Amino acid sequence: MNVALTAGGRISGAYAEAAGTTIKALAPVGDATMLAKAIAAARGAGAERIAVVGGEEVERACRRDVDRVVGESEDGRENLLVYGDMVFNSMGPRNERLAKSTARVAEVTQWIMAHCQRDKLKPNGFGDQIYQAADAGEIDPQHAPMLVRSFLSAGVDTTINGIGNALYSLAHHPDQYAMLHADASLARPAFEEALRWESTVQTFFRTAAGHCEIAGIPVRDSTKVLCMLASANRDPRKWPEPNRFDIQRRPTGHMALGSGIHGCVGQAVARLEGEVVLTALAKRVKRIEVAGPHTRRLNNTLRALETLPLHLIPV
Amino acid sequence: MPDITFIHFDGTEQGLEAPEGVSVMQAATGAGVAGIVAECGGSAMCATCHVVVDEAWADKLPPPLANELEMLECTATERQPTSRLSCQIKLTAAMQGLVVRIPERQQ
Repeated sequence: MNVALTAGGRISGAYAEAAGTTIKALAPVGDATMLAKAIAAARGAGAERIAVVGGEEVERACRRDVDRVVGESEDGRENLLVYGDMVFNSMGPRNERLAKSTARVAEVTQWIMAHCQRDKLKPNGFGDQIYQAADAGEIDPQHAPMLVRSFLSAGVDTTINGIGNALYSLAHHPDQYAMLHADASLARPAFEEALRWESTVQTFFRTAAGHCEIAGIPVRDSTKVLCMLASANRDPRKWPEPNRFDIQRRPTGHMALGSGIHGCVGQAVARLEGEVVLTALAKRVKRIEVAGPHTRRLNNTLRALETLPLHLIPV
Repeated sequence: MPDITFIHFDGTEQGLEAPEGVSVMQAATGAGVAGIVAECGGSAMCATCHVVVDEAWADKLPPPLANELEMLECTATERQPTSRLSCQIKLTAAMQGLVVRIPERQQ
């Protein structure tokens, strides 16, 4: 068994002060660092080769104890995770979870804003194409950095957890994964069913633009309405056997990406990512097994994963 | 209840009685007509419900709005002069006998 440990996470604030480091993996847990404990646990579980993904400090700390260290990019992209977490916490109650994530974002806001400017964007990438559309007069130039920010805020945490939740679904339904492995063209419908079944974006708010009625219930002007997308995706009036994860289902009309004029503007990109990842897996991995209990990262809007230990058994 | 005829890519015809007020896409997916994918569920966001409206009918339908026109540039098979997104054609009694062709693929 080979194990890969990712050690790129950062910590800040009081936690970092108490830990004496801004690198999560090097924070102490009892008598050793988290990283050292993870390596020891992997060895204890019979790992033959261990690879660690991390920066310079992580490499110095564990180089002698592992087989390979893969350098992470130093470009700060982990800031996107902090930002996305706050954005999706903000679409919910003004609770402690939101307050904590807002405090963490203060440090990365400048990085985020800087990376919406044209000079930081890869030529002809999605972000740069927004600026090209502004050049062509298709959008107001003032809106360009904000539209780029939408990619960063709305398009990262969602797809990360969309893919993670798809893996979770497939790992817990080995018969479904077997079907996918036998026919890689099921990748896109499998991702779609995982979107319905897990609904990474659990809820979304709308505001009543006038007095109205929804399903016979009077709703006053300016009322905030919480749309329970995940609940709609398990509605037995719409879905036969709604709690069954079935990659052959073809769940047209699910609410995981919203609908209508304010449906998810990035949905084509999200589906492409899901299709690409699951197709690659279907071809190279003959079985996915649950390697231990998963943990969830709680967020006011998202069904997010903190850890998802899996065995991938290669073809 | 207008009758619609779907002509599949292989030439076979499939007719159905469709309820008024739903889109051609909804009538198709509701009746399990193959070849209409409708990934975005009818929001004019995916171009996978593409149909080619029979020439006799093309001018009788309300014309496409700007968002549909934009998405018609994204169909998997070449856009034809009478191409439409079937999710944007809302059925009325006046569309009795509508004929549409389903393209070879949607993705």
